[in-house]
Parts: sequence; structure tokens; C-alpha cells
Amino acid sequence: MHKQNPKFPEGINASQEQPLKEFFLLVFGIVFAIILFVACVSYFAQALSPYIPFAWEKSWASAVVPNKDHATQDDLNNQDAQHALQDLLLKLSPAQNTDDISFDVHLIHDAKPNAFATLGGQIFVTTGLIQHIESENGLAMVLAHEMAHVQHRHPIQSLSRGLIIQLVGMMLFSDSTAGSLLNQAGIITLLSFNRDMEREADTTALRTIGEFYGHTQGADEFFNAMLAKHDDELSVEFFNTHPKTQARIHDIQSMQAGLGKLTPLDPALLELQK
Amino acid sequence: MEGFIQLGIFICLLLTGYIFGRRAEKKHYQSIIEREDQFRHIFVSTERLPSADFVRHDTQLVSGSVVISVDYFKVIIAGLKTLVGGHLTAYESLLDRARREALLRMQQQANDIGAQAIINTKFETSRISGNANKSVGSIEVLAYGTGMIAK
Repeated sequence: MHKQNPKFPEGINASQEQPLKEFFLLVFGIVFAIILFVACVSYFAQALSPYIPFAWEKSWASAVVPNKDHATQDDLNNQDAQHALQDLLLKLSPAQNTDDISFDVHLIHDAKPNAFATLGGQIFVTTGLIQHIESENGLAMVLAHEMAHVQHRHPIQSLSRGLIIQLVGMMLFSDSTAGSLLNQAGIITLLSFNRDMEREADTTALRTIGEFYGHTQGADEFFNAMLAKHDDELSVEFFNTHPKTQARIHDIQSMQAGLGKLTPLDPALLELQK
Repeated sequence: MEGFIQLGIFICLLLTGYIFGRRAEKKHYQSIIEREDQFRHIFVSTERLPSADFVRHDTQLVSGSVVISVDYFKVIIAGLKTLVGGHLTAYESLLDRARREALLRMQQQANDIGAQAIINTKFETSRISGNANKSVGSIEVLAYGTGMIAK
């Protein structure tokens, strides 16, 4: 007469399925979707950002990059060298057809040989780089390369791409670990150029050098110097940001339009090498 | 570098959550199934009024309450699931365990006071922690009913 509780089969209210299976399916699915989305959006960002007027880029950059009005102590100590760099840059500008774009070059005291271009035509050259260069032609190649980055709007393309990755991270995972990881991926891509950009800048720079000096002798000076001291820890940073130096030297040599006389470096810059 | 450290911490937490959470769940289900067999004779119903068999019985409130916590693995898997939608199976098993455990504790109480059955059984659920950071921290499941004690 006395009723008993029934025994229900397991797995009706709670799934018996292995949760790891679901986890990996979710992780791979979502990661794939995010990669696809980021790739699409960053492609459009990259394709459209060259249409942003350079004047706008310049005004944004003035907020974050030091300009002439706010010269650092390093700038003031090396005014002559700084002017020599700026003069060389101005001389190169007509050869590169950069009418609507203006450049500012800054000399940084750093033993690591490096040069980079950021938003608003701000170009930075380290004293370490100048020490590894023998002639004006070599330095002109480096400058023309960085100018070409600005001319082809590479900094703003990288910035747009990096910001979009960060934005996606913020939208999807507001405050979780996954969000901060994606955020860091965004920061890494923020101002780094990819291989195609480097190649494009090399090609433009070589054309400029060829037009300006009438030959491209010495254009690979800096790359050769870097390759010669490959095992030196100073050059590690350079190789991380500029992959495949050997291939670039090869490209430069195959594009070289004959040999000519090298122009010596400006005395103010030679002074730095001491 | 910082990213790798964060990733490492994340994977450690995830693994810890998975291993311990999975073990706890398995053990808990084993114990639930055992005790359900043990208390099968204490009939639990949702009838509001006693059947003819129980009209001469004494009545007393019996209740069982359980607080159960979510593990890190479940939080992450549920977080990912919220992007695509669907059953949150990770939470389903958690709540299933909590409900059954609460019923069992209620039956245990009824058994201790000599009740033969429980009528008018109700469930209540409330979130008791983790409200601040928007996640399900731990939940309480309360089951209560009227124990029927033979005179």
C-alpha cells in the first residue's frame, strides 16, 4: 500500500556528455570565428585607412609623439646631427614625390641599431644605427625606407588593424583573461609592419635612392652590417622586427641600377661615430 | 611575456577546475544515487492535501538546503557558451545535483523524525555569492515540505 519514490533514469536533467568535448568544440569554433572576423575587418581597415587625410594623422600623432616644440634633452644635445638628418631627409623628399606629406626626424640615444616610422611622419633613428653606417648613401636608404613607410601610410594601417583587434577583444570579453590576451595581440600588431609592407618600402626607397644619387651603390650597407653581426645581441631586436635580412639584401642587389661614387656622411654625423 | 604568464595561470585554473570539479561531481552523483535508494521509502509528493492514508497523521515542516559552488572550468565553458547560445549543460548538472541533494537532506530530516511521507514539497533557489562580478558564484537550493508522522 505504501508508495515508493520512483527511480528515474540518469541523464534527463543533466547531460552525461563529457564536458571537455564541448569545451574544445566551443574554443576552436569561437577562435576560428574571431580570426575570420578580425581578418576581414582588419583587411578593410588596412584597405581604407590610406584614404584618411595625412593632416588628420598628423594632428592625432602630435598628441602622442614628441614633435619639434617639445624637443627632448637628447635632441638638444645633438642639434647638429639632428639637422644633418633633417637636411638629408628634405633633400630626399622631392625624389620620393612626397608633396603632401611632411616628415620629422628624431635622433635617439640608443646603442641598438634601429630606425622606425610612426604616425604623422615621425621618423626615429638611433645613434646605434648611425655607428653602423659608412656613407650617406647607406643612411639615405634607411631614411628613404622609413619615409616610404609613411608615404604608403603603413603606420596608420597598422594602427587601425591593432585597434580593431583590441576593439573586438573589448566587445567580446570585457574583463576576462581571453580579453586581455587579445588586447595584447592588438598592442603587438599596433605598430609593427608586415613583410609586404617592408618589401613595398624597400622598393620605393631604392627607386628614390636611384633617382637621387643616380645609382644605388651602398643601399645595402646597413643590412650587410646587420648580417655581419648577426650573433651580436644588439642586432636581435632589429631582426625581430625586420625578418629575412638576407632575402632583402638579395632583393636590393637584384634591383641595383649600377655602381657609382659613395657620398661621405655629414661631419656632424661622423662625430657621433666616435 | 606577460601574456604567456597570464595564459599559464588561466590554463592552470582551468585544469584545476576541471579535475577537481569533475571528481567532485562524480563522487557526488555516486553518493546521491546511493542515498536515493536508501530513502526510497519516504515518499515525496507535491500534493497540497494529504491522501486518505495520511489524514490521521501529525504534520511537521521538513526542509533540506544545500549550497553548491561552480568551478572555474564551468564558468569558462558557460562564458563561451553565452556567445553562441544553447543549453548550459555545465550548469545543468550543477543544479541537478543541488536539487537532488536538497531533496535527500529533506528526506533525511523526515526519516529522523519518523515521518513516512512528505507532501506539498516546494523548491526555492537563490544566488548567495558572486553577484558582484556578474558570475554565478554559488547557489542555494532549498527544498521544503510537510512531513507526515504516524500517531
